[in-house]
Amino acid sequence: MTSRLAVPIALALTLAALPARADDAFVLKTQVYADSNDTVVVSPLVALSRDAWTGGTLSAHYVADVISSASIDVTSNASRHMADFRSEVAASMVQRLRASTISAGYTYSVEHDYESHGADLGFQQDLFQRNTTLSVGYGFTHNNVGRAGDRSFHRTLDVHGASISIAQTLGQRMVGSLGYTFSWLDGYQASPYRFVRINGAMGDWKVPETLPLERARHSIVAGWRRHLFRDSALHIDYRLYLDSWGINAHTVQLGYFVSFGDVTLRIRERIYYQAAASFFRTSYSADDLPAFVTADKELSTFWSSITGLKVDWRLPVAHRALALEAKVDLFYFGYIDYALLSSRVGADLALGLTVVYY
Amino acid sequence: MIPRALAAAALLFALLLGAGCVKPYQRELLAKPIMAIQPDPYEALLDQHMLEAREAAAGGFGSAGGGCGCN
Repeated sequence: MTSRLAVPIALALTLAALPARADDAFVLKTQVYADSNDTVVVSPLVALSRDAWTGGTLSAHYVADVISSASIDVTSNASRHMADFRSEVAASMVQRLRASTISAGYTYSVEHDYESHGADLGFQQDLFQRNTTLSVGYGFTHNNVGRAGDRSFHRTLDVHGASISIAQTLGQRMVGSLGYTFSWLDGYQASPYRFVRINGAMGDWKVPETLPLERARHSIVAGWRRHLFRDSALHIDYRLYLDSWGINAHTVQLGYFVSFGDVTLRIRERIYYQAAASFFRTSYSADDLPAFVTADKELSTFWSSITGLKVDWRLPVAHRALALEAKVDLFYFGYIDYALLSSRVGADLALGLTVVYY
Repeated sequence: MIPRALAAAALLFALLLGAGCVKPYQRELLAKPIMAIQPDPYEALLDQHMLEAREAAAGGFGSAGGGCGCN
């Protein structure tokens, strides 16, 4: 693990050691997630972006997840508590060529029972005097799944993803975007720790969660940005999600940004609804057992609401802009057909610092 | 449902293509950070990673890195 982290970390240190140039940026953020289901996740992030040569930008980031949980997922499987640590490092390159932009990136993440390698390529073309921007992308991720305390357990999951999107000016105050993402998952997608209770005439017993090995996912996203009175903007996004497991989901995001000089406030609301996977049951009976069984609440029918406030404060200093940010998101998840949990509430808190050179 | 949704999206793509013709000197408001399609990519990265571990849906709003942080 250390050797695999070494290359991206060395790149980040090299980027940091170079003298600062215009548009270089340094970002430091920490996000804390806490919910009523006894789960806390602390996620520190550090990112560097360097204007390395004419039209070329190199970027790198490191993000960790420090997880502590006694959620229903954990306690229903005979454990009282779990703790985990996940690290992710990523490096990317962007090259601008007149009206075109190409990009390439690599991401590696690891935790004690999971390892992931991902690579992505992107191409962007400005059209019609830069009123239209067309983007296409492809990414591939290879995942190795393990199980704590069982060195013989090894499964893999490969994910191919392709996307196409368009951003279009719709007047002097308005811009819209439309995008489609397809991904194909091939491999192990269950949790090696999750067991499903089966109700039988002679009593109940548990079997390991079993999910299909293949999954096709489709996402269509439409976005709209409108500049309003004073210095403010309204953001509206909608996503339709469909997959081959029978899940369909709708997501609506509303955001309102308003600037008061160096201070920008953002108020947002996000509503999400999903219908359960076709094989999900509130309880499984031995008399009518489908080929796939799950006790994953993320595959059940539920809705959620996230309401948040964010404040950005930009402080111009010599040859650089310093920005401080603070964010509070409050959320509610309501589970409609999941037997072990009816709802959870919580908060997502974040603090951040960005330095941009100019 | 997927072919119909894709057809509707393709039609919207065609309608959007070249719909606006805004000169560079008319883009002062469009160039403001609050008008960006994705104003804060690193916030989006953290948000998407949190949401993709708690929802079945994924994609479209930018993608989080691999690993689930919840296994």
